[in-house]
Amino acid sequence: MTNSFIIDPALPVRPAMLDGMQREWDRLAAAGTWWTGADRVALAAEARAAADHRPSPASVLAPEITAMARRIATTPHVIDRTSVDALHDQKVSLEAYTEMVGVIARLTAVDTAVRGMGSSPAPLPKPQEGVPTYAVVPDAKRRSAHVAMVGSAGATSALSSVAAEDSAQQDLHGALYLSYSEMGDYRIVKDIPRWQMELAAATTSWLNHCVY
Amino acid sequence: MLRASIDIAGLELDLRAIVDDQCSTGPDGADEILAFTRALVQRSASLASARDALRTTLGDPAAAAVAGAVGNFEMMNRILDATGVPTPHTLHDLEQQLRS
Repeated sequence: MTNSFIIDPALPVRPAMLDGMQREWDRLAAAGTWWTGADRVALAAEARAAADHRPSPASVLAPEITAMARRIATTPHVIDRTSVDALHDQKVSLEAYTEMVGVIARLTAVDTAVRGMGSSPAPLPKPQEGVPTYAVVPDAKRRSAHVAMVGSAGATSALSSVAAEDSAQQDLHGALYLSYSEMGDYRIVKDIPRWQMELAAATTSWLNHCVY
Repeated sequence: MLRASIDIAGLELDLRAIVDDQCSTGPDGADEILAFTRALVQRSASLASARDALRTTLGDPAAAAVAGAVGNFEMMNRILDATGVPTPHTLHDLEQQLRS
């Protein structure tokens, strides 16, 4: 498997973690459900620029989309239903917004992990040709959350109105931290014991003003 | 999940250290995890020294494992907030405290 990530060889990294990050890079470059590969890489570039406190790069995206991309990257806790509806009024469907969230959240995850390992974030991948699938999830309904979800709103259903994004979240979650099936095991050790993972998780959420 | 995993490990850990960097947590390596996580999320210039301290205390594989966990929660925090997943009722007081 080609690997886009150059990590200090003195720092042992689980192969499954590196493979998971590479799968995310490959997904990022390809056409998604509602956005092309070029759109998805442009969203990632915008999010990375915002996180680095840089101005918007030249982009194929409309201004209201780049503005929302920057908010997802830097201040997601202030996004409310009104701002999601305002984007919807600009012809960005709730499902397309959901895909934006997934792309930017996973980019942030990979960039953070790589910086934590002492390396610079990898160059963004070259966009691949192809058209979005426009696959609809008929069971997804908008209830109390900002976007539609299948079943109850929660951590593992947040992106469920876009099946490919839901799967991508699950894949990277397992690579960087724990698979969904491992979540119930409080004795698990993956290089470090569970309590150490949870201490890092709780601290990250506190710093991000995320209650969940 | 933090509380449950601490209890199962049979440890005593002062959770105030998560919100107060003057407070020490207790078990070996916990303070180094906190310092590394803060430096990584806040993009602090102390990240390299925090990583070195973590590697010295918990071993080389720990740095990548903690970096992965932090990355994952950077992802999950954005997904939960940006999609508007409602906060469980049991956490409303904490939410008010965080949002103020």
